[in-house]
Amino acid sequence: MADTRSKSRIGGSGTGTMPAPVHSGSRSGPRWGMRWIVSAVAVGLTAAAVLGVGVFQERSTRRALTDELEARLLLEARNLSLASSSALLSDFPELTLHPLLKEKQARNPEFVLLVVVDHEAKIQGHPEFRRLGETLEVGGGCSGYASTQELDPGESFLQDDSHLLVVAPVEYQGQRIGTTAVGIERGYIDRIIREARLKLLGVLGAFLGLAVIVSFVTMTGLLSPIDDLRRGLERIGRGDLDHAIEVRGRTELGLLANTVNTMAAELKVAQEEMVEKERLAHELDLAREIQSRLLPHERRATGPFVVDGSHQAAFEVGGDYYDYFPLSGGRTGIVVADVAGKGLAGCLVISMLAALLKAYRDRYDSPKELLTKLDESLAPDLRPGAFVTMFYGILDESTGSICFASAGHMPTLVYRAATGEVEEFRSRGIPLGAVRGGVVARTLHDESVQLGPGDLLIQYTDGINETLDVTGDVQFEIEGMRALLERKSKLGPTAILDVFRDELETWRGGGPRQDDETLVALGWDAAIPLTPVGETSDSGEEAKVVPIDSALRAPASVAATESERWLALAEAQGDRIVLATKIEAMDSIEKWLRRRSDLEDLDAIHFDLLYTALYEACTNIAEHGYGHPNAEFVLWWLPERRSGNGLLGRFVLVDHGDPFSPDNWTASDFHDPMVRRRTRGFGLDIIHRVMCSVNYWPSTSRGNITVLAFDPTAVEIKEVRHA
Amino acid sequence: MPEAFQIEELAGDGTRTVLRVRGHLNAATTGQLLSHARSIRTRGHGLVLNLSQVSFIASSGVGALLALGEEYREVGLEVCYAELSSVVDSVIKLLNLDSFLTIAATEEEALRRAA
Repeated sequence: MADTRSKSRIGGSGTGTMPAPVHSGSRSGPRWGMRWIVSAVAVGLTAAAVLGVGVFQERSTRRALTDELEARLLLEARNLSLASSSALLSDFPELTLHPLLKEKQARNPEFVLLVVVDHEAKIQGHPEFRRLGETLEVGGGCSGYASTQELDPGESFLQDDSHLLVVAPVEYQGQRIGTTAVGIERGYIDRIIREARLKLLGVLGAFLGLAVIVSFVTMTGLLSPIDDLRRGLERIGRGDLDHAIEVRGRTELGLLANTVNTMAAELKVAQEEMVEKERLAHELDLAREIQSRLLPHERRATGPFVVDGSHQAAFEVGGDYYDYFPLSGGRTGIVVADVAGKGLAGCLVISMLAALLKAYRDRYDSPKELLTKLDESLAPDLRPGAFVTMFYGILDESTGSICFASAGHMPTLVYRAATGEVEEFRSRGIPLGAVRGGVVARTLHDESVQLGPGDLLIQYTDGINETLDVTGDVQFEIEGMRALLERKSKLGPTAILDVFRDELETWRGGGPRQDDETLVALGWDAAIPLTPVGETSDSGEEAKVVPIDSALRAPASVAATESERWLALAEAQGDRIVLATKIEAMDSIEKWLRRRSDLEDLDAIHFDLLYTALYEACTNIAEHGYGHPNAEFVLWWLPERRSGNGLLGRFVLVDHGDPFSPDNWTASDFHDPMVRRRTRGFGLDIIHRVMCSVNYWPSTSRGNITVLAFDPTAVEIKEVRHA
Repeated sequence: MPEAFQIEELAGDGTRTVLRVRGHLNAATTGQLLSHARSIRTRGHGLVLNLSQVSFIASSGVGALLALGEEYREVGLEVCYAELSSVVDSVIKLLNLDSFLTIAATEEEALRRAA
């Protein structure tokens, strides 16, 4: 970490030396000191400005200097011509002109040429004495020079590679008696410009140095709070949210520091809230776990009855509770409760309720008395205003009667298979703990409902009927539940739970649950007889096989039709397996067959074929007879007690799905290539070739009934010819 | 839990690809077999189906075996069914399908037949 921090430090902030680019990994790239950047920019801008001005100024200066020099040359030439006029008329003009020109050159050393010649082109005036008398062609070898000066007749500007000169006539009374020439070196101007440029560069250098120093010092002063900010942010980053960053100065960095301090303070509040939320979430998880542990995790199948429940938790842990459990004498206790209050508090009440129920449920045969006892035990521990609505029923599986009492709980709904209608049993009691002093007991009553084959009873919490639709205005209502039960109850108790869950999901429009949704369904499978008094058949989820020895009793009634006779015989003498309407469930057929002692002697080939044929028959029902994967149907094995080879027995299938069309089956013609290409539709071929008879009775009073007779000696198997 | 359905592809002899099928061949798994075998057909390869590890075959599985034979035959290729497991063998016998399927006792025999 220290390495990382040092790499992310702003370069050169503490040393004042130009930093090398610092690389802190492939993602961050090099770091450059801001003060160096600003200084470099200042220097660059200053230099550019000064150089720009210098270049422009130099051009202007050169032009002005040239004009001035031309004027001066012209003026000197004219003055010299005037001064030479009288001298050239004298006998010894050189005596006058030499000192004059020598003095003039001494005063103006830039004039490299000062000369006066007479009309014969002899030098009469020159700063150097030895040149006097020489012949000089003034302007010889020179070219014309375009000047902006106004020239008199006879005057001209000339130039050669290194000189610029002015030639002026010397006149006397209108006659030209000589010529003067004044010249300078062309480099004179460049020298002056160069000197000016050097001065400018000196000034520029001074300004640049000053700019660097001033900008660096200024930036150092301005940016010094960044170190404070960085150190403060590092402390905040390490979790010290109480640290306040102090930044001196009135720049934006001070404002930034204030913002960071505010952010840290808000972060601290948010962190505290988050910790609190996590603590609450942990509590909720704990509550959910407690609640989950208290609820049954599998359905209970006893005799022809199946009781199953589901609990769909809302976001917040609710106070719903349900359970079902065996009681003495072939009875089953069923409880559904709703605690007013959610979260951990509601969950704790549920825990108390579950513990009390477990302690008392075997002591009381009357639901009213049990609820009264629970009220007495629970009420003192409930906070004021808290209460529990509760349904408690006891099912007698030998009679199909359920005795129940309800402490302010939701109405019990019973679907009647005989009429297709739903009956409603409303509560007359008030909730447990709602009123102290034994008042609750006086409102409770035991009631009894007689169930019949195919009937379905449901109990639930208000999260079901009060589910709001997508608009949030319309509840599902008990009427919605009744309508659903009327349409779907024949699917059985387990399937109806899924139906309700799906329907409520649709009703909510995919929105979140506002409350826990708890539903318990008790169904009577019409295909299974009641368990006689004194016998219990608590076979559980996996083992749904009625022991064959106990099935030797007589049928409950005399069957009127052939299908009913076979079913009655199966119920009396056979073994059964309950199958869910999904392909995965068909694997259990093989296990069921292998457990049968009366099939032990069957050889492997016939066993495999028998299993395959039953698989096909059952898959056909599951796939085509039902539109729901959690409905159920029953497969009975009715053995023939015949010794030796021959008919082993019959399989009786009872289902409540959509009946098939009882068309006459014809064997598939495998010689037809179109038949061989169709990939499916050969199940009946297998069934008919394995079973010696297949009979199907759709839509009987007991459901669709299929009877398959199996005789292994009648199964024709020919040898396979290898290629 | 039934054995997981698996298809193992082997290179064969260059003109035929070998598929070793393992597990239950039913409505839930025949789609995989058909899809895999059809992709081999599009490569122009014949097919050897080793069925020794098929622990259960439903009517949909039988239908898949028949359909593959027809589909390959239509494009001038052949499917050879090798090493039938007892359950597959029983159902083939039951339905008298041997005259419509090319069956070999071993995988090597199926490949020799191709050569």
